[in-house]
This record gives sequence, C-alpha cells and structure tokens, in this order.
Amino acid sequence: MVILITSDNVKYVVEKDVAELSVLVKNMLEDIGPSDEPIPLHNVTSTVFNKVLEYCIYHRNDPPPSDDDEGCASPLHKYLASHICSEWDQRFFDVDQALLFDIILAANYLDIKTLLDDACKAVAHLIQGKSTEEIRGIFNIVNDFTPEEEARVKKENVSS
Amino acid sequence: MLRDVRESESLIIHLSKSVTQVSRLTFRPHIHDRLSVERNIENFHPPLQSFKFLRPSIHSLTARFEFAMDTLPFGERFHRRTTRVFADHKHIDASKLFNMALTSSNLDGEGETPSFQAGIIVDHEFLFGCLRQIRVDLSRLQTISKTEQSNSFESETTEGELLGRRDRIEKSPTTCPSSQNDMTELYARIDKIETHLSPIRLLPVDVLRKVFTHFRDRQIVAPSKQCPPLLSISQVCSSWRTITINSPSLWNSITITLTEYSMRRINWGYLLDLWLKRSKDSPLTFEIKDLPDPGGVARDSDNQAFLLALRLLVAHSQRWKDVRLSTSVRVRPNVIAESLNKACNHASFPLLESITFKQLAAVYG
Repeated sequence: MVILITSDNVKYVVEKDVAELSVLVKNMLEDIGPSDEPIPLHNVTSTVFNKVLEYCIYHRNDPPPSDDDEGCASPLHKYLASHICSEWDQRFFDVDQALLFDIILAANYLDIKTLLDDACKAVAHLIQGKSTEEIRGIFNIVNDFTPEEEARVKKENVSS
Repeated sequence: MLRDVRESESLIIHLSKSVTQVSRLTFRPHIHDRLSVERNIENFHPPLQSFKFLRPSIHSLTARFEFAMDTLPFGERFHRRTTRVFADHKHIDASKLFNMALTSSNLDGEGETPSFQAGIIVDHEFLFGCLRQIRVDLSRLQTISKTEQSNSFESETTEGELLGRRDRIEKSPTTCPSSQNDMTELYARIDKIETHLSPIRLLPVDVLRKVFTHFRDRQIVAPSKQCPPLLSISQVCSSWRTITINSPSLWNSITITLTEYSMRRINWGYLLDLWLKRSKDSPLTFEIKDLPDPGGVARDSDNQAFLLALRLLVAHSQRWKDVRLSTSVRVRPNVIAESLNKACNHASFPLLESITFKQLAAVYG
C-alpha cells in the first residue's frame, strides 16, 4: 500500500499497482525505496484526485500504453485510438469543463498517460464538428486577433 | 504557507463583511488553505447561494464573485458580469487589492446603487496594464460625458457615478456617439481580459497541442461544406493560432477527397498548399482519393484535378513517407503511372516507406 496526501491534506491509502499508474509516484517510490513515508501530491486537490483514483482503479488492468501515438501507428490503429472510448469512459468524462481541465492538469502532473490521452480526447470531442465561433463560445474564448491577423484569417476562409 | 492562509482568510472575511450583495463565490485558494477558507464561508449575510473551490494555485489567490441579480438595476449586459479579484502572493496583499476593486467598482458605496465591472484586478503584468487602461478610459469617459452630456447630467465626479452614467449614455447612443465608441472600446478590452481568465487557458501548450493532434488525420478536402477542423482551430484566438501554426506535425497528414462537390465548391489547391507550407519540413503522409458520384461520367478534368494534386505533392517528394492513391474508373491508371514516372525522374524520395495504389472502381463504378 502507498500513502498519498493531496494538496488539501487529505490522506489516501492506495494499492501499489494503482498508484504506480502515475509515473511521478512510481519514480518517487523507486527513489525513496521501501518506506511508509506519505507522498505529497502538491498540485492535486482531493476533489480532483478522487476522479483520478476512480479512473486508475477502473483501468488498473489495462495493457500499458504505447509510446508511439503518432509515429509508426497504422491508420487503423490511429483511427481506433482516436475514436474508441468505452461507455464507462464517456460517463467518467461527462463533467463540467473546469473539472475536466483539472483532471487533465492532474494527469499531466502525475504523468498518467492513458488518463491524459483520454481526457484530451474528451476535449477534442467538445471541439469536433464545431465552427470557429462555436469553439469560442464553448470555451469562453474571445477573438483577440489584431486587425492584421483578422484580415489574414478572413483571407484563409475566402480562399478556401 | 502561513502567509498564504492569512491572505485567503482575510480576503474571505473582507468579502463577507463588505459586500452584502454577493450571491455566488468561486474561489481558487493557495495550496493547503482550503479549510481555513471554508471556516469563513458561513459568515456571509445573506448566505451565499453557491460556493465553489477551483484548483488551488501555487502562485495566485483568486476570488470570483457574482452579485444577486435583484441588486442590479442595470441592463442585462451588466447583470451577467462578475467581478474577479486576483492577488499574486509574491508581490501584493490580497485585501489591498480587493479594496481597490471595491473602490473602483463602487460596490460598498453608502447609499449608492451597486454597480461593478471596473473592479478587475489581476496578477499578471499584462492584465494590470489593461486595468490601468480601463481606469484611463473611465476618466476619459468622465471628461467626455461632462462635456457632451452637461445638459442632461448633474456635475458628478466619482467613478461609481460615472458607471451609472455609462448606463444612461448607452441607452442613448445616437445623442453621444463618441462616448458610445469609448464604451465599445472598453467592453472590447474587458472581453480581452476575460480571455485570459477562460479555464482552458490553464492547459499547458503541450497539452493543447495533444488535443489538437486528434484532428491531424481529418480530411482537409472533404465532400462537404465543413471547414477542415484544424483550420477552424487555428482561427480561434492568437494563442491557438501560434500553437497550431508552429506545430508542423499537426499539418503533415493530408487527406484529399476529390468529388464533384469538392472540385467545384472548394479551393482544394489553396488548402493543400496551406497544409504543405505549415507542415514545413516534416515527413508527409498523404492520401488522394477520387470519389465520383455514382453513375458519373469520366471527364478529362477529373484526371487533371488528380494530377494537379499529385504535382503539388511531387514538389515535396523529399518529405514523402506514406502515400496512398485511391482512384475511381474516371482517373485512368495509365495517366497516373505516366505522371509519377515523369516525376520520379526529377525527384528523390529519401523518406518514402510505402506507396499504395487502390482502384475504387468496384465500389463506386
């Protein structure tokens, strides 16, 4: 068992194979060796960690992710990787944007590749099929182009 | 850490005492000080309708509060606004910042109608610059209002009253065109600040690029009106544009589907050229598909379109990695073979790993 402490001082006792889905935790465990010392997770709150843990427990027996996500992978492999998402995953990522981005940041910090990939897929799904204006609306992004940039963008649209 | 806790606590206490109209509060505390903030939430009178913690931040302390709708007699546009207070604990005391926000937005003015929006104080230098500019704009607006609206308004001097006046000016734009322009400019600047507060901006560039990678294999020319997703993404805002345009690997997978529709309605040559330019020197994976309408008749122009696409790509032969050419009966294989043969005489393919020809006649003929 591994003891993890989130940034808001909530303590979690987690099975080692689940905790080691995080490369950050795995490396820390290797560095400190056998010890009961709790591992602090400075950039993750308990609210977000609950979700991360839920994901890691569900996916603990998945095969390890491939390092190559764009290089040698076949078109079919890439298609499957970018489209297939289980029903469980779809439900898991059906959260408000703020939490979704927090999960991404936590996955990035904890270095959990599969969670990061799947969460990015969930954000891509929000963008999918949307126009530029719709994307701005979804993410509350304001068009901040200078008039010169705006003119270039318009030219692209007219030309295409 | 102790200092962080004190700052968070003091900001919450200050909010609860000073602003009775707050209905919703979102708070991004410093790391480890969530409990101390929670202890003080109950001090709000009337109680908050909602309270939410965001991810704690190492660098900044952020509060975003929203006011009860019935306290705001202004236009709908104002009702939707929220005021946010940021403090960088390395440089600035949060309570002082909050006082500044209150002063500028006149939230706690005695006997005054509550108004807000100008009280945006942020932790980055750029946003401070924007705030300073807003203040300059407000003073300028005040001067203009005094000049142009002197018959309608009494002599008023405070910023809070000025904000109230802004509402009246807005309602009669035709009588005060220059003030209206200033207001538009002011809103544009506020919107620009809000861009920097959008939660998606929390994502590091690498992560955003990872999100965009999901669109790299999509067709750039498809038999539909839809704009290629990468093109839409690159036009969202300046930071997304910088990320996409400076990521050649997003643009080096090219799929073109030539149909009656796409040849007639889409400037596919322009799009292909754009993708080739933005992919810079990275290895190319591409597919040209020729899909005629069922029962369509072969024409020379079909051959021409296919060959033109091929010619544009042959100019980048040094970058070819994986190539797939799928043709229907209307593009004659011997013409393609001849064209490729010619191209091979003058080109080199040092990175080429595979080239596949596919005849789609059985499906579409």
